[in-house]
Amino acid sequence: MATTSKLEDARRALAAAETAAGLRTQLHGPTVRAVPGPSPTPPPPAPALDTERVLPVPPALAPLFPYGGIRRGTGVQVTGSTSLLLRLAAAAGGAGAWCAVVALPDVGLAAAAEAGLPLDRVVVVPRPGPDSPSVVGALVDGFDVLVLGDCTALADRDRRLLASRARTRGSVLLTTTPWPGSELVLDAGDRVWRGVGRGAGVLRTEEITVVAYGRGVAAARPVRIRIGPGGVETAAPEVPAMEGPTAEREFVVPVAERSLAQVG
Amino acid sequence: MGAAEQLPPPVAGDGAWPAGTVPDGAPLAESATRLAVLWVPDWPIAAAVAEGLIGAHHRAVLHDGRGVTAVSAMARAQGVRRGMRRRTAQGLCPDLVLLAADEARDVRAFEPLVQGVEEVVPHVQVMRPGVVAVGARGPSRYLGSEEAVAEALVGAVAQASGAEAQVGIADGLLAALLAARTSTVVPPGRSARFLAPRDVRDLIYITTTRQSRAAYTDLVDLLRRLGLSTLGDLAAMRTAHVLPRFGELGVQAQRLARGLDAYPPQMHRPEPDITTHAELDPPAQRIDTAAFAARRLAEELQSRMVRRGVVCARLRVSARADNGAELVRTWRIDGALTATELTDRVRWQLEGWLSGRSGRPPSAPLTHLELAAEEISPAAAVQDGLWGRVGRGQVQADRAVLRVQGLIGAEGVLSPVLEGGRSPRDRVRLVAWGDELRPLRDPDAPWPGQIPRPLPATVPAEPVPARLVDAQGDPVRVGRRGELEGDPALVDVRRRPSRPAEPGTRGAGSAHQAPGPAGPARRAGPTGLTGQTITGWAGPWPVHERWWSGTEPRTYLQVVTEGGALLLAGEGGRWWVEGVYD
Repeated sequence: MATTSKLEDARRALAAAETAAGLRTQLHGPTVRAVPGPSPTPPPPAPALDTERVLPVPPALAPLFPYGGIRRGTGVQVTGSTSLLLRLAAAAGGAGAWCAVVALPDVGLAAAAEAGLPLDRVVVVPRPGPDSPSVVGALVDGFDVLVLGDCTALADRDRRLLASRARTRGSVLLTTTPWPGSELVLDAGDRVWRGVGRGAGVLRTEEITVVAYGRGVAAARPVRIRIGPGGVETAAPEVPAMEGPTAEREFVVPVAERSLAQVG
Repeated sequence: MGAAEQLPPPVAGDGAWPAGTVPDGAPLAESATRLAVLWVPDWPIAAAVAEGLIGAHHRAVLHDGRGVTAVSAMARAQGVRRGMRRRTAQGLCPDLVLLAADEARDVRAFEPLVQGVEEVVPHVQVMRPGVVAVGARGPSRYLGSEEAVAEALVGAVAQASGAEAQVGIADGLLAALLAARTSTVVPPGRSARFLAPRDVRDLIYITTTRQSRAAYTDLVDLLRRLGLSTLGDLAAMRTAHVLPRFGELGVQAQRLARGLDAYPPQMHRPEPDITTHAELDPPAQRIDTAAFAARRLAEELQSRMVRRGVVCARLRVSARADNGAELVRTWRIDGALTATELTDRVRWQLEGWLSGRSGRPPSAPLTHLELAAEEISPAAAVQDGLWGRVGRGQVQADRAVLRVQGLIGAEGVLSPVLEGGRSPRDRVRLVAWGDELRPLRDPDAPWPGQIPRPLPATVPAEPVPARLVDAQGDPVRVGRRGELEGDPALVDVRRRPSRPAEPGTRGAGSAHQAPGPAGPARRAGPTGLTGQTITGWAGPWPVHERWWSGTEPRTYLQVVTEGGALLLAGEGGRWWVEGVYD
């Protein structure tokens, strides 16, 4: 018994090393079928990212990104969850990036700081006003990450120009509104908050399902994540959202539209 | 000087050391340059007077966006000080005349004065508008004594511009600058003794650019925290101890505190000067055409300095006019200048010349322009990465922010500061970019009763009213003992009145503007009310902050609906959305 588990341990270690070295996918030997670890989903060893080209994302979200992170010069549209947006900005900001938060007058910066965004490298422009194209253009030139809210003053043409400017400058646009040329669209939904009873407890963790669409993403594969005191984690796989057929998940009405319907 | 005095044995350690020696036991072999510094008190005010914007009798201040930058003597008598807020200054002195600070005006008006000084003494170095330094040894030999030099300089300035100036003469720049503030002549070799009892904060007077001021301010802060509160304390340290602790800047500061020049004199000519020049064809009559050429020259000079990894101590601007007149002006510079700062200096200088206000040439167009970086020394500053930029950092961010501030005003660009506080709204304060980033309330204090983590990701900028009702449709209130009267069953968030959602923005992103939690569409409740069904809640958490100012106790409540969670705050019988956990 002891020898078997020892063997499995060795196989796992070998598999992990191979994954890290990039050999894993090419091999078809017995090591490939190494038994996965006992924990539900051990976080895969984060592959070394080239931070010159790719900004890091929370490890639990990395499977959604074709390059394991946000490529510089591209845009990611995040809808349905501000906390997801803040976590993405924080992961990039934690790697030394400067971050500008534009046209988001309501964003909770205390929550952003809690998520790990270093506020001393953040500048906030809550209301860019009618000069938005020039304002955002200047910020694209100077900042690595732009978190962009709803800029009504930006016409489609401005958006395309800004996207190409970001591409040349190598900055990343995280937007909450549809953006032409976004490489990736992350749509969050099915939010469940845990920790609160009827008049007891306190909010502790949030679970959301994130679906990624876009270039380089093979199929809209939902990922259930848990955002809590431990950061962003992959939620336990026994949640039915992970096991059911994925096709019907795509037809879920995006959360934000529902919320608009509610308050409007 | 050192030879005449009794030298102590070369002992290590502390104890007083006589002036003229360093504690390492070595006599001061090098002596500093004998300098005369001419200082016009409150020059920005005097410049405004010279340009006719205000009269000399007015109680006037200059201010930029942040506060008062210069105060006239009359206003100072009323208690107005530099660095005050504009409103405070006006409160102290109701008939105060306010003028915007303008560096270009300061330089422009200073030019006639410098020309006046040049008639007495050649080789004038402008440190900043209002302060010039000249070598004192030659003129004092020519005029008979150093007092005579001081008198001649003050007279020349009074004649040229009508401003009152003070002159100080001493060894080394710092001592001369401080001597000018009290109109004294420090005898040769006595600079160290003159400086010893002074506060280390006086080091700031040496700075001429914003970066160096910031660097010296940090250093002085550090020195004071370590208990080195006078220049004498700093001078008494061993040089070998200063370098590892305070770096290159610390050594510079120590040399200044000992009454020496900031850099050790070099016997050989260190590096050839870097010059750039341009012929102006057609001759530049207007300031903008000349400034355009100056900009190109300044950028070229800057890039060549960067390529060679050097900084310069002096910038010489020289121009030739149409009628053959030659104009040369030297600026003293400490530290590295950016291309923009360089351009500004040159442009101001040209403005001074071309405005013709000095009554001297050129009032003729310029044909030739030359910039030279003199007294070149290796730069100790951080350079760009070997393969271009490594990461875009502070410099680029600063530049972008400056541009944005130019577009939408300084108040439109903010930086967040973490504060102590209980509600998520209190825990961050937004200040204008570039302002003081120190928190007003200690964020590390315990703050009992603060809203527990996680904090809501959306905090509406203006409170959004909400209705909270129980299953019977009665509003849920908070009782006298801080408990809820009734179980909340429905919450109804009203749309913010001041910000109606535009029809074009109906998209997923509007979630941020619409502070309702995600969830199924509002439905009719059991009593025909609309709202979202509450599945759970936590709290209430009563918080009675600032009771001494008569505020009502406030109650916080976390509410979970089918699709999201809200942080509600209640006061009296009213509720509003304090945060949305989305």
